[in-house]
Amino acid sequence: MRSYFLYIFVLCCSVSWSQEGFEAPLTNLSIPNSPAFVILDEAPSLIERPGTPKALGAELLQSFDGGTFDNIAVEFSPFWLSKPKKLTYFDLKGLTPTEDGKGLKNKALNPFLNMVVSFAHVRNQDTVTNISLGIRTTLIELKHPRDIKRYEEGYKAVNRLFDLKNSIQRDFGNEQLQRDDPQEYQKQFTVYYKERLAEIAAEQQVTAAAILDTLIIKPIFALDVAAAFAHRFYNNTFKGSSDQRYGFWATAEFALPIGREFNNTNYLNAYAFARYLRDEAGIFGFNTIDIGVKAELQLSKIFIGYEYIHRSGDITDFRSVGNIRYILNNKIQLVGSFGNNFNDFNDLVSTLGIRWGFDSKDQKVTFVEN
Amino acid sequence: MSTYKTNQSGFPIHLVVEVASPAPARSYVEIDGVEIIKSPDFSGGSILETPIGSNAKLQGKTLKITTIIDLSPLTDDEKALALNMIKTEYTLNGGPDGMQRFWLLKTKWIQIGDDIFINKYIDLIP
Repeated sequence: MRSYFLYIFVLCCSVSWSQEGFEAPLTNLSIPNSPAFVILDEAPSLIERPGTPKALGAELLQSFDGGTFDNIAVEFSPFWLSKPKKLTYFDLKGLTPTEDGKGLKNKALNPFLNMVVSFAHVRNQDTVTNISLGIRTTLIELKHPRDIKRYEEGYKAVNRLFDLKNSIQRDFGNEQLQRDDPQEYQKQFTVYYKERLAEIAAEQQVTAAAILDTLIIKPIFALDVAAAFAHRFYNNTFKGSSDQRYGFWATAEFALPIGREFNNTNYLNAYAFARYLRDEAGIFGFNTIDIGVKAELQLSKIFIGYEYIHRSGDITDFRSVGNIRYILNNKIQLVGSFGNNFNDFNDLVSTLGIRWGFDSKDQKVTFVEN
Repeated sequence: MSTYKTNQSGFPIHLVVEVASPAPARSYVEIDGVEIIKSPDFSGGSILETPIGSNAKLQGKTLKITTIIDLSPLTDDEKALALNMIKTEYTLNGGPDGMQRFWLLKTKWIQIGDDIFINKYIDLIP
C-alpha cells in the first residue's frame, strides 16, 4: 500500500495538468529500460543495461494504438540525494584512484551509486491496469586496462585546466579584499575570470566536459541485477479483483569495441539474461525461468539488436524481438521493437517510442488533448 | 577568521584536505602566497596527511587552501544536486592545541559558471 502512495506522489510530482492539456515536467530524464516496465514485458527490449544514473527520470512509451499516458515509468536514483563522506568523479565512472593517487583502477563493485528505483503504470488492455515498482543496480563493472590508461591520460588534461584556473586566480590577487569583503571580491573576480577564460577559450578547451566527452569508455563486462513487483487491477477498480507478479533478474553485458580510437563509439555488444518470474493470476498463475541472449551492433548513434528469450517452468514459450534505437540528439532517442512476445495470443510486440533525455532545467513537453 | 595555534618547536604540522565531490576537483595549498602542494592527479582534490613545515617555521604565516571544482561534466539537474553533495574539510595537527578541523561556509564559495572556487585561509598564530 505504501508503494502505491509513493507511486502516486511521484506521478503527481511529474505530471501537472493545465486547461489546454497537460504538461510533464521533464527534468533529468536519461532513460534506461525501467525495471518496472521489464517486469510487465512491456519494455521495448527486456535485455538492456541502464545508462548513467540520474536523480529522476521518466519514460513515456506510446504504442501505435495506445493513449499517451497508458504507459509511463518514473525513475529515481537515491545516490544523488545522498551525502557520501568520500566521493570522487571517478566513482561515477566505475573507477577508483590507486592507493598513491597516481593512477586509476576498476572499482568493480559500486551498487549504491548505480541504483535506480522505478515506478511504472501500464494499461495493456482496456480493463487491466498494472502498477509496478522496480529496483536495479550494476553489481560489477570492469573496464579494459588499456581504456583506463587512456582515460588517465585524458584526465591529466583536466588537471592542467585546473592548474590554469588556479593561476588565473593567483594572477588576480586581492587576497586581503577576499578576506575583508568576500562579496566585493567575488564581484571583481567574476568579471576578471570570465574575461581571462574567454581569451583562453579561443585556443583551448576550458571545461572538463569538453575534454571528458571524448573519453567515453564502455565496460568490457558488466553485471546488472534487478527486482520488480507488479500489481494488476481489473475493471479499473481498486477493490475489485487483482493479482500480482514479481521477479528477479540478472543481465550480463560484454562489449567489444570496434577499433581502439580515442573517441571510439562503435561496439559489438553481447548480453546474457536470466530471470525468475512468478505470476499469481489465479488459475493462470505460473512460475517461470527465462534465459535469454541478445546481440547488438552499436554504430555511434544507432543501435540494432535482436533478442531471444526462452521461457521454461510452468510455461514453455519464447520471445523473439528485434530492436532499434537511434540517438537523435543528446536529448531525444527514438526506440522501436517488433517481434513475438510471450503468450499465445496478444503476442505481437510493436512499439515505437521516444525517450527524452533532457539535461536542462525547466524543460517540459506539452501534450494537447484533441 | 580561522586560526591555528603554533609554537617555537621544530615539531611538524600536518595537513589533511578531504574533498567529496561528484565532479572533477583539484586542491592547492599555499603558505604566504607560495604554492607548496597540489592534490595528486587522481585523488579527486583530496590530499592525504602531509607535513607542511615546522611550528617555528610556520608561525605568523597564512595557510591558504584552494579547491576548484568543475561541474561541467554533470547534467544541469545533477549540478544542482551535486552542490548539496560537495564537501571540503581541512584538518591541521601538530600544533600545541592538537588536531583541529576547518571548513568554509558555502555562502563564501565562488561559483562562476560551472567552476566553483573554495578558498580557505587559516592564520597560523603564535
